[in-house]
Amino acid sequence: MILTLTQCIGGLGIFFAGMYLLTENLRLLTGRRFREAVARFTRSRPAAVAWGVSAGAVMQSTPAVTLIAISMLGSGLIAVETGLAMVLGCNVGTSLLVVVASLDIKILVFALLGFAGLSFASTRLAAARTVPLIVFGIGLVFLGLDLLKDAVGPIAQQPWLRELLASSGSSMPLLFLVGIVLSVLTQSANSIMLLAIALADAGALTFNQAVITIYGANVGDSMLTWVLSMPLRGRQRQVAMFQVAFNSIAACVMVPLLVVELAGGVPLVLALARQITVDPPLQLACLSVMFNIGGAITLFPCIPWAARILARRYPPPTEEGDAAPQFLYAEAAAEPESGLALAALEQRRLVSFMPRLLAIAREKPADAPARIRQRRDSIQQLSAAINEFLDRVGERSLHAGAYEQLHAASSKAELIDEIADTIAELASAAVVAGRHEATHRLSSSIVEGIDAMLLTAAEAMGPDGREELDVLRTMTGDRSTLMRRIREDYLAREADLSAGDRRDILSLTIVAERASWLLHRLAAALLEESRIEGGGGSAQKTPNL
Amino acid sequence: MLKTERTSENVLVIRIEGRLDGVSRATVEPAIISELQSVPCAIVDLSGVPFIGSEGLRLLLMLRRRPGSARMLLCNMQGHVREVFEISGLLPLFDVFAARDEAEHAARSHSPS
Repeated sequence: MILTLTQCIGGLGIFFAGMYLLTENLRLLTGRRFREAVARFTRSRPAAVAWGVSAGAVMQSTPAVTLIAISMLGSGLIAVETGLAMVLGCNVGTSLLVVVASLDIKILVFALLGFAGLSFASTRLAAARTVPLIVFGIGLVFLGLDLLKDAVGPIAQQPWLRELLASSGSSMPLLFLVGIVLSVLTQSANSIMLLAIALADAGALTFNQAVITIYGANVGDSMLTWVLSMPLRGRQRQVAMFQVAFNSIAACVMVPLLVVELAGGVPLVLALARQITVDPPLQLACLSVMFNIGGAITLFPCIPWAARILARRYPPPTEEGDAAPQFLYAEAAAEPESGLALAALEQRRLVSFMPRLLAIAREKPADAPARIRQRRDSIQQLSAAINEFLDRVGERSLHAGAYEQLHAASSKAELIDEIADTIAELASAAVVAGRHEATHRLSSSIVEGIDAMLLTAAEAMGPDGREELDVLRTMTGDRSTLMRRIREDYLAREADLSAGDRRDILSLTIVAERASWLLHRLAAALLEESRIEGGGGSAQKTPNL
Repeated sequence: MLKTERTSENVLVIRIEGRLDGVSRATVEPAIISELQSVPCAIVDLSGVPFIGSEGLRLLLMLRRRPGSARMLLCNMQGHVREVFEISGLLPLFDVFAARDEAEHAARSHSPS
């Protein structure tokens, strides 16, 4: 019995380890090119559903596919409706795992594990290890499920389990609830579905009880998404809530159909499953797929309507719109000259968002840390889009001058990233500081002073920014002596400062000094860029915003 | 929000009262621009400004280099305002005086007779 129980736990562990290997390594393959190819393929809604089915079947993770859809939404590659169609298809795709795992595929699983595992021994293949790791992950997923399935049989014969299951009687609502709860607890609806199939195969559950448990596990998957999506906002929440609605609506359709079939004897889904196969475990696996297909058929025509409702219910915060590039588009990289000018416009836009981090520090709302994090995330997303675009420009054949411009633009991008990190750090420090009147005053002075530098930097990056560039260089000259004096003045003047207040003063002045130094480097980079472009009149040769 | 006083034919003293930030900029900016067009030299008295924000600093910076605008001198910066000017690094870009009479003296000595 102990061996069987440990096999059960081991099977679950191997399943989760396989899922981890699979999703983590698939993520490495879902770079820019992959996402662009997906965006091209999913121009129509049926194509988006088809992609969702394939991605769900391969990745076996609705959150992973949802994450890809969300990142593509953030980059402006797809519309919300396309993202919803992908998620819809993904539900059907992930349910295919249960069908495959219900088959006897031991030979295939061992072959996958063997070939992928053997490739690790080769040092030649070290550089291309991602694909073998994905295959190994798939093998582990099925091995884990197989071990689990094998272990459930003997457990199902245990008198205590039979008594427990018998005590629940034939209460279908209770088993539906058990399916929900176990799915939430294990965070894997598929493993609960396979457990139900194995218990039914061992005779511990009736066929109908297994069906309702499978339906419950699907709804549990939605409950889990609902709980996990609570901190999300905007389009991320819209996609997550669509996923929540998917299984709930599928249950609203499929459960009544089951009731009608069982109570009224009308041949519906159970009859259809019996038509597909005579093998009861496989029939149950097919019913799991049918549950998701039922949801997909119901929701597919409602996608535009659902997108509108979700957009109204979960409107995107301003920072979400800021995360999408406004000037960059894939084709622009083919023309390096204009592409680099557009990248400069986008970089200026990025810098112009940074004062919004300090605005949070100025207003100090109750949810300031979360808002700083969200704002920083949107800046990071836009920054990543700019870097990807610059990489794409770099893949073209460029003349020497363009290479120099590209190098300058890439260096500026790195610098802007550092500035954004520092400003986010400063905003966080300013939010915390303020317990004492002195730290409140200092944080206010620093926020306003550094904000003025940022506003000047954004102007200096614009057309006719030469004069602002000179102002920025003056403003951001050596601050170390000044900040040291301010720090010492505050520490000496205010006798009743606590250790925390003193730490706040140190942190504020140090981060402010770093921000000023980085902005000084940005001014130097802009000057260098202007020299490379051969322009003396403006820092950037860019069109007007 | 603004009080003006002409101390001589060529010098106008503009006293700003209240916070100078993004909110007040909308009302202060047009009024101050119109005043600066009437004289060759203006002294901006900041004694009535308890707080200056980044938008206030940007306003003064914009006024300083506005074509056809008067020469601008700043005086009477209070504790917080001076600190913000120092941290922003803007002090070297302005003619700043501790007191109004010092600014008036400087304005007179530089203004055309």
